[in-house]
Amino acid sequence: MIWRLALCFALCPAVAPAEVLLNQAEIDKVLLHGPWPHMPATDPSNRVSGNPDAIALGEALFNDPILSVDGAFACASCHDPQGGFTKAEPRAQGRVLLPRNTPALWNVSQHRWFGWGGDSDNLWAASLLPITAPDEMAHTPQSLEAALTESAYAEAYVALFGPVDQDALVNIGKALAAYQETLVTGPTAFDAFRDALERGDLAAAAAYPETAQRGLQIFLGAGNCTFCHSGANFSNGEFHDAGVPYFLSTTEVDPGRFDGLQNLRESPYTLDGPYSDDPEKSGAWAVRNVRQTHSDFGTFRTPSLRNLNATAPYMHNGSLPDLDAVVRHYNEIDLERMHTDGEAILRPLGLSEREIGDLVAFLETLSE
Amino acid sequence: MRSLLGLCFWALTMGSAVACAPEDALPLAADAPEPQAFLRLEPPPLAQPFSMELWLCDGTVTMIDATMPAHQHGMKYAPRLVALGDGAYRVEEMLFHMPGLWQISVTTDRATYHYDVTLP
Repeated sequence: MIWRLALCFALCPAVAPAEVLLNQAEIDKVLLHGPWPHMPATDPSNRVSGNPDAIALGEALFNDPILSVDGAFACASCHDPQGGFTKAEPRAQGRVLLPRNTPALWNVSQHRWFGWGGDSDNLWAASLLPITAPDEMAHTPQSLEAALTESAYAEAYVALFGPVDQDALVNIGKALAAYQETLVTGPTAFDAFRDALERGDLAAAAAYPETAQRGLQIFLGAGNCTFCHSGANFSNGEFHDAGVPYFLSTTEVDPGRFDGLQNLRESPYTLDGPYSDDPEKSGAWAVRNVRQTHSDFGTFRTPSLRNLNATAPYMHNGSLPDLDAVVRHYNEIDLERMHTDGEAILRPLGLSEREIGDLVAFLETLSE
Repeated sequence: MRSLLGLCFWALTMGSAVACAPEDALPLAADAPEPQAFLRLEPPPLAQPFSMELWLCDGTVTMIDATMPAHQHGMKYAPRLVALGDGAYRVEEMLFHMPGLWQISVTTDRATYHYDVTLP
């Protein structure tokens, strides 16, 4: 008997009860990252937002190469529904290699600005840009109108929007947006932890892995991650310099938000423009009031951290292959690459290997 | 009679600093000796537009802005100032896009005022 007990103590690891490692201040911060999922209200600038028929038409068009002038691409060619609505390549491949990583579309309706440079202030405008981009789907409004008229979608389109005319491009954008608004991820292990904390159920919260809890503490504290990755969608929706080079070649740069603002000001498709269906122009304050400064050059929109496990590689140019690389990028960030007139937030973190692993473990719990 | 006049004079002079703003309005710290500017705002939401009310006992607002001194950056959007008359203003479409300490600056033709707000 005694030898059996001794053998058990030798072979069985000591099991400490699971616990919540966070202090009350950290818990208070955690609660600000939810609840999730968050279903936004319908978009008043899009009269078919939330319309089941528009959603069905939008999904069909999303997957159909009719939206390319020569049938070369569908939206899904880059925003692959089987691949997290993105692609595994660092940069998107249109008719030429494009400058940026394909943004994933999960939870896209949560944003205020769309695209890495914020060229659009609404989802339907962002959806129509690739359709007429010469390096992408390359339609003109006229060729798109003709293609739609001759297609099997004409009847569904007419039922929603009336006759096919010069507004076809915008209306297709609105149908695509109605579909994309439905792409919302579900609750994750982090959300279960957060919700348990909110209701005071520490026993349930303690089921959240301790490595993820330690990573979360870094995220909330020394990592300074929450300055940009805030809220339920883990993004403040704004534009920052994350120390990722914006040179495309020795002679080309990606201006990021700086050019995005320029494009926005020249676009007729903003929330302040004639194609918005909202008579109140309720979202137009942003495009009216947004400031453009020199420090916007080479800044890119803060992506959401939800569903990252499905959307590698990362950063605006897809230069970081996995989450370990992302954390190491911030851990060893080169301040010489940062804008001299920009924000003073990022600095090398000096995390240990264990802490790097913990932060990665936390980030992984933001995916279903 | 003399003491009554003195009491009235005291009330007029000591009360004038807050006579231009509601009692629950908060004084803004100033480069000038006495607070002549007051504001009232609810706890601002993070990364969402909000409004606040402003009262000036003296002068006219020429600029209103906010910065995060620790991060060396300001707001991404220019706020909209609505003059309501008698030194009262509504400041709309302010937006603080990060948690932390923000310093609101109100510049008038007489002085510059500051007010610190911390977002959790």
